[in-house]
Amino acid sequence: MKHRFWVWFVALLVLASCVDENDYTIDSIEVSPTLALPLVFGELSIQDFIKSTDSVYVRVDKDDLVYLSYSQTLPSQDIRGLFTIPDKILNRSFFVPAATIPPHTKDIRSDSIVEVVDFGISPEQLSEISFKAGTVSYSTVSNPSLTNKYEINISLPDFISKTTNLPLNLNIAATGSINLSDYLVKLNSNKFNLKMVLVLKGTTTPVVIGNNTFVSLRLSFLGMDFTYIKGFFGDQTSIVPAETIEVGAFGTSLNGADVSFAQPKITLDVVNDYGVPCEVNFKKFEAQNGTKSLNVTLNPANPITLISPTVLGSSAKTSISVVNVKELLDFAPTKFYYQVDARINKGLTSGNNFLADTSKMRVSINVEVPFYGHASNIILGDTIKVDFGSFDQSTINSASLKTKVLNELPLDAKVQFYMTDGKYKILDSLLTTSQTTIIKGSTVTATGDLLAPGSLDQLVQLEQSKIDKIFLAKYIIVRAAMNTSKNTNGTFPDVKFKSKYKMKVDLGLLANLKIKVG
Amino acid sequence: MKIKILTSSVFLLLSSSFSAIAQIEGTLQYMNSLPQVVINNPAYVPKYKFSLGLPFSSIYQGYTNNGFSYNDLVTRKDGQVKADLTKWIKNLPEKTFIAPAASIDFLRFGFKVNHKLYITANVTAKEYGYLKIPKDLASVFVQGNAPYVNSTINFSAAVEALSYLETAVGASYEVNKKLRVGGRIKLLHGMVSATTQVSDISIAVDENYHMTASADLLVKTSGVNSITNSGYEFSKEWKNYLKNRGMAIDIGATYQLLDKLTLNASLIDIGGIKWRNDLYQYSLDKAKANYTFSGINATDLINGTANDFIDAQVDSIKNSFKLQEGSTNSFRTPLPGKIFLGGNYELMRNLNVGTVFYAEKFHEKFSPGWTTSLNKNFGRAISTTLSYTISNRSFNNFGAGLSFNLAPVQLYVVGDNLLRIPGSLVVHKNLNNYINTAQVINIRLGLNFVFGWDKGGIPAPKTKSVNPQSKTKAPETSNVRQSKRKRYRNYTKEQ
Repeated sequence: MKHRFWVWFVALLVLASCVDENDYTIDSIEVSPTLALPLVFGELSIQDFIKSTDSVYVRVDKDDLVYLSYSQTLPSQDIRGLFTIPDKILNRSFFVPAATIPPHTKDIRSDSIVEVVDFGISPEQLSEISFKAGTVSYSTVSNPSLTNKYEINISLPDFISKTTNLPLNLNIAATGSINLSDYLVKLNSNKFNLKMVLVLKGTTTPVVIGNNTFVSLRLSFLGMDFTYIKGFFGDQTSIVPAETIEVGAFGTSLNGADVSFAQPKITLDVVNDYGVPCEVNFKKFEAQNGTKSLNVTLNPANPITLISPTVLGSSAKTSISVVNVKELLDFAPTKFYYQVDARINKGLTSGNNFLADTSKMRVSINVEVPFYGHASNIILGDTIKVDFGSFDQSTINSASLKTKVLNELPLDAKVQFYMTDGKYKILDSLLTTSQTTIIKGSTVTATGDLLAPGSLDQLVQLEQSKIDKIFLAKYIIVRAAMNTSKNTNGTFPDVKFKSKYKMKVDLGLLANLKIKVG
Repeated sequence: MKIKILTSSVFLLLSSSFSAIAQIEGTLQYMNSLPQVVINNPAYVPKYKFSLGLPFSSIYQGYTNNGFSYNDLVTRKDGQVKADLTKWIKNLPEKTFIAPAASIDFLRFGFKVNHKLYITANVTAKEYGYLKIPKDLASVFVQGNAPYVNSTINFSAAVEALSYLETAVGASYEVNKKLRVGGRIKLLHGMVSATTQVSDISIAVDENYHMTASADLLVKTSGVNSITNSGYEFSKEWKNYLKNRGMAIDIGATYQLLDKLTLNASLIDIGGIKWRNDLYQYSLDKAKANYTFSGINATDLINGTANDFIDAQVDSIKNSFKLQEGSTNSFRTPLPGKIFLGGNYELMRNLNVGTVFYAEKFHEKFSPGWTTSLNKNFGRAISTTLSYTISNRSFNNFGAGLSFNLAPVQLYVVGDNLLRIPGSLVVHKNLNNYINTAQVINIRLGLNFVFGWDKGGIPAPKTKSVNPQSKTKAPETSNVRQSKRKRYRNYTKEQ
């Protein structure tokens, strides 16, 4: 049976031998597919065109107008730094006449010293100090020794405890100290009252006091610092070190662009905690961009009298506006530089001033730039790594760029794709100059609002010589040069960018390929 | 008149359209010298009273392609053969089915118990499969996706394959002198299966060329995964294949409408197999497997993060369309069920013309076809069939069957598109023209042991052989006619 099967099998082989195998050797395969590939899509608003460094400053006002808002505050304690309380050391002695004192059960007040102590501060005439640090150190010795036979009563009636509201009163017989942080002192033009009394202690035996016996006292006010001070601080000037406010990260989206904003606003706010008449003088205030600078013109003009708070712990704000804002923003500063002096109690000889140790003068600069105006030469770009090296460049018969853009933004754009080698050397551009206008800006009303969106839906045929360069490219640099919409007469009107305005973009590639194998 | 009727029938049939695919042997339908004729209708009774087929006694190979022939794929110019894919896709149907099939008899047995009852048995290994290729899948590689802008590209390819061992017993019984019915019951043991239960894969291209791909796919297999594992040995695993069991039935009937016209009908392979061994599935979840590629986001382009965006998109696509693999539960696949409706007309003694409409249903594939044939027995020694088949959108199928009945040995070959082989050899000196234009190639060949040429009908000594499909044949002579009438009367008397 198997034998017969093989007979059939051989018969099949015979039939197979009647086949010309060359007919089944395919010499070549050629297809010509047309690919429709999406390249870029998205719905963009003006916020998307703002660099990430700027995006934190983006705000939208009640009219939906997009604006950049920048604010920076530099605090200064230079006025506070004018005031320190110096150490004060007092050395006093009591003379005790020679005598034999019989036994006595009660203390005997022997001698006393009453005086007014001056802290020696100038030109301030303080009336009150609330201490947050400081000590009163004391020590006493007697010669010949009267140890355990006397004490000294120290009375500081102007030093009031913030806890008990009682004056400071001490009986000392040796060495010690008292912390002043719980006390405030009422002064009379920096002066306070001090009374010291020598007391002989009660005894059951007679006390013999020899000739030339003295009791000495050392009283030291050390390391004093205040929570607040009150009084008249004198006519003083504080030279505030020069300050720089960096605005480099602000507005970089527009770096290199020719920009003109319609309604920009820059204000300077000085918030003052010092309860003292103060006048600031901007000796120098300028915007800087690289090596270039532009003076900032203020209103009110220099020197500027600051508003002072009336109560300790509160603040008062003085607003100063910048006159040449538009000029400044067109200048596109990267930083603001200012140098200022602050003078207190100018020409005054008395007054009720106050300040706390935390008091500051805060200088804030606020910039608001509504996206309302006109601009040109705004450049955006990205570099995309590509590698078509493994493809045969002859495989593209033709290619077209499909562009469909519906644009509510008053922004025209010319887009170019630059093909570069591995060292970013440009080999060619993909589009001819006349083909680069693929985003057409909207038209606007006289007030700069949207009138009609710009619309473009076209198929741009690419030149074969440029297509071939794609296969040599290692990078494609996409570069968009934008400007705000133009009038029919070619000028740039001021246009508004509102957050609801969108640019809907769809770019695609239609490519006919020629693929040949064999 | 007979010729006129035949011509009209053929014309009508030619004017009908057949667009799908079938794996049916139309030419075998009326080749009653072969024991294998019962394959298409269990009511049939072949010519021989007893037949035996040993292993490999009947080998069947089939290939059908409803989409294209080789010539549709290539052009020849200056001795060069070029793949002309544009020409290829031009005439592709929406769904191309490429279907191979094969079967081998390990045993076939047929025995005519009496003139009423004929019993059969067979053990046959069968393999059946198809690969469905949507036209879009081919077109998109040839034409690109541009022609599909504002429409959807259908990528829903599918594969179906199963192999099994069929053990069957059947019987054909004469109910009365006009009606004969038959049936066959089959015990099935599945070997390997791959079935695409869900395939809905597409890419939609919108007017801006944005492409949205979505996929819903579920392919289940049995007996495939373990083969790829290292250490697989069939000798250790074969018992597991016995777990895949199934049942199927065939039923059929013949009815003698007129003296010379017999109608036939049958349903074949009504059943299926439940697969339990080495079950594995591959799937894509439609909830996850979808992705829209719209290009580079303009915002990323402006922010200088385009490369990051592209990398993220690639990762997203990989994650979305990652094929999920894992074991699965048992599943059932139907057999490719078939229906036959036909008629056989005796033009003259030992010369019949037959026609059969058929259709096959396998999963989503419904495949009709039509064959008409002229069948002639040259005495007992040689039986022939010439046929014409329309199937698989193919109209050039001239079939033939030939059996040398050298009892007890019978050699045979039959196929739906064989007749063009000698034509190709004569005209072109090779088979290329035949192969290059064929969309349907099937061939059954083998060797049977056969005994007892049955003259057909009610046993009647001294009458000449007649076709079993017209058991009450018109006698050649008045004597014979008289004798048969007598027997018939006797037979009816007994009733």
